[in-house]
Amino acid sequence: MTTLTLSRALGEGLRKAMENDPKVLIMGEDVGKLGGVFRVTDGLQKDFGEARVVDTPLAESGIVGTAIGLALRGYRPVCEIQFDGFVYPAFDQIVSQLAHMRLRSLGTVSLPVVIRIPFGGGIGAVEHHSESPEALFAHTPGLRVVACGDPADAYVMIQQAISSDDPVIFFEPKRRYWDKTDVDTAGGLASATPLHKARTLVSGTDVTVLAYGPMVRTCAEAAVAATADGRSLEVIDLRSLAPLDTETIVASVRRTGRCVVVHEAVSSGGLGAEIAARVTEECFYQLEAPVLRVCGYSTPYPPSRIEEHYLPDLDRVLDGVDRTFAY
Amino acid sequence: MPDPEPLAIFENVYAGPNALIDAEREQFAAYLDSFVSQEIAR
Repeated sequence: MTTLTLSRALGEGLRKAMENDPKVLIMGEDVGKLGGVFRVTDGLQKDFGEARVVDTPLAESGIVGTAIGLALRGYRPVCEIQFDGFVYPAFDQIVSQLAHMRLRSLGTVSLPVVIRIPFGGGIGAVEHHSESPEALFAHTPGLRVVACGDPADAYVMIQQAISSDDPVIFFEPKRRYWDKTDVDTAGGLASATPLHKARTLVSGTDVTVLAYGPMVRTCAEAAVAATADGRSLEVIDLRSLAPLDTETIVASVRRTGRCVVVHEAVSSGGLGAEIAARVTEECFYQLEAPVLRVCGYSTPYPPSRIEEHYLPDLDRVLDGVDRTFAY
Repeated sequence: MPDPEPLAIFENVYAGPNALIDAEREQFAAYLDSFVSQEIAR
């Protein structure tokens, strides 16, 4: 076991994937000499060369379009979008080309492209640097959408994403880049939780709390705090947002009878709405209360000086839990 | 060129099995079968 930050764990996962497969390339703005603005790719260009770790122009549409071309030629490109809000210029390439090529080619063409996106707020940055656009991609058939929550999982998930034959949008919780955990860098992927499966982080009996990315730690902390009120929270890290691991979600809610979904993204039209619909369809007779959402408000991301009022925190999660007991 | 079968909608979306696609294919197949059953009943 090695203690790594989430940023470093992703870097080590990328390194391992590049060592295992010479077709894996990294490309993005400042990923080479600088090592990325969050230092995820630090040292990779030095060790693997400029042909495999490519500093690109500031042109996200070009980055993803080039990655699609490389994937058509048998490569496995990993693109870094420097900040969440920078992905929009590449949106057309992702949803119109990357997501559809398999269907368009009747299954003869795979595009194993990974697009890494640091997402979410909490670092004192401005709009375009603090956004959570995951629902836009989870709504697009043909893409797999995942979000890592801690260093150990990030190390595994980035390798799993690179080995997937589907395009993967890989969301990284930027405010957790500096979190540290023990990471098993010697273990293989065979025994790891599959990329499409959720994991139960905290077992509990009273309420199922569903989270992903930056909210995983917040909800785990809320579970500890809730014990003071005599409440037992089951915290599930969704990991995969498309496809959702409905099986794990439903099994938990059928036991607890209550469900709270937590994410930073705006509530309206978000993952929480999709999950609420699924849970209602599958758990209608077991639910003691409606599925509640604790989310960002349906506004543009606010100025950083008041972002703590926008972002769900431990108290808002506990408030959501309290509200499920009011029915 | 003949039209694809209706269930071809669900092919070639992902490289491997996908629980959501599989569930929707099953629902749609059952829906299509319900018309056949009604025809037979008549």
